[in-house]
Amino acid sequence: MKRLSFARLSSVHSLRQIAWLREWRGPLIAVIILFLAFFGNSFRAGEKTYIVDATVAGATINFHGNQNAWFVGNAVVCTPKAQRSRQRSTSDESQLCDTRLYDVTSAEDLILDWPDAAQVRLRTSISGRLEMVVLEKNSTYMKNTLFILPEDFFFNNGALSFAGAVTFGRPINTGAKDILLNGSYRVREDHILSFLLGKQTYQIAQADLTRGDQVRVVEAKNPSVSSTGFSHMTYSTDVDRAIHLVFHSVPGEHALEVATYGMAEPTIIRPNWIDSTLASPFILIVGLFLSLAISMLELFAMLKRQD
Amino acid sequence: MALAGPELQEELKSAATISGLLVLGAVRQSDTFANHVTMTANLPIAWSGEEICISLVSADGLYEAQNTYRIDEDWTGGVAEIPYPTKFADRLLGFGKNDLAISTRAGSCEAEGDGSLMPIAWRSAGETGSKLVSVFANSFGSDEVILYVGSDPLADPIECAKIDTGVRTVFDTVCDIDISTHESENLLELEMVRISSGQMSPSEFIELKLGGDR
Repeated sequence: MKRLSFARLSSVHSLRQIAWLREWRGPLIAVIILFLAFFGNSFRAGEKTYIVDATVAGATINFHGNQNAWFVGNAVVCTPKAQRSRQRSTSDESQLCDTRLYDVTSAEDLILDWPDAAQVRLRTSISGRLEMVVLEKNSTYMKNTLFILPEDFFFNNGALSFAGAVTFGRPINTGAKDILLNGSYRVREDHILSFLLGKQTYQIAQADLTRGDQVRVVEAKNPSVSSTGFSHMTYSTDVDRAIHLVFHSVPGEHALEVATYGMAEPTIIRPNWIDSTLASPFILIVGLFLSLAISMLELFAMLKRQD
Repeated sequence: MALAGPELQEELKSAATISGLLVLGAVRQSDTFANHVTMTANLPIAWSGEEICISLVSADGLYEAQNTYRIDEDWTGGVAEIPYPTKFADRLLGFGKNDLAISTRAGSCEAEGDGSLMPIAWRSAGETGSKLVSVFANSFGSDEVILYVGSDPLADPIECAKIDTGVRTVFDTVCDIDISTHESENLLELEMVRISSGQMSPSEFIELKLGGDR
């Protein structure tokens, strides 16, 4: 008898629980879906694309791959002399480079075929010419070789595009010329429903860059490594004698490194799950649907009670 | 050899020092690093009773020290251990070979310091360090820095290297000089040239005092 009464008691209790569950089933499922959507969206390893769009007086490029050939046409090529002893004659003033340090030649149909991993610093000079300095010896060009392109280069030859890593500007120590003038960065993330809706991205972060900062996109896991991507250079429409340089990283896990003059360490900018959630159209639409659904359920429940 | 002041003047800052100087110091590199802070220099007998000024600055500009020392009246020349009772030994021992510039010149630190630069041995396990002297300089954004060593007009210059790690604010260039062929010289002349956009900047002349004359 005792056992039976116990069983009866507990079954009454579980019936009450079920009734409670039945009443709150709708909102409960809604909350669970919202949480799943929220966590699913925020903690998945979404592929992000970093876009840096800036006007610069100079930048450093690390070329990637072997498909980076530029037809530049007319150019002056200054090759460092093997012997640079102090016993100098006077320099030929008519040349663009000091003839005591460089062998200077003029080229008419120059093609710059940058090998993989070639490192080049480019900048605009005060006269508006475009200068490119080879930073490290590579299979094609000597270290410190200087290419000087005419001031109307972009108008005559059009854009220069390439694959590789880019450092915008340089730390603005006294004397620095090849600096970042202005610009902005954007981070886009692929949509969680890309597999349903087709490849879509949405912007999760965006901000202006400050003049004089040195900026580059780096690997999130190893910030000492620059991320590769695709870039193009065109003439600047807002600043004379400057370059408009745009970099798109390949989708992946990246971060933005901003080195500011006087700071001991560069700042690493990386949008987090809060940015991702706040900007997510998916979270917005799930929230919207669920609030609609809950309102409908409430309405039905009210109508049912009135019956 | 003793500090002229009551205590060591040094500072570890949260914001970097920014230098406008061309040459920040000269260090005689060591083959093996001692695991404690030690500085040694080959001081000539002519400097007995004189004051010298030793300045240290880290490449990131966060550590800075400047102290006047008085050399003993009865100094007989040779290698001197320079007392350096630092509070930041851990920090200093963490610096790599291109992270710290030391400038040593004759005269008090209050005086105008433009005399010859004495390379000092930093953390040297041996007595005098190696035959390699590193001169630390500011490139001021130039493409190349080259250094002519000695007075031979036909000698090719040394190519100075960019120090690329970290955000450098005080110095960004190191010129490594092999002094083994110049050790007999008391003063070694250096001419530093910065090259930018294919053009030379006016030369900067520096004298290295290798000491040794008694």
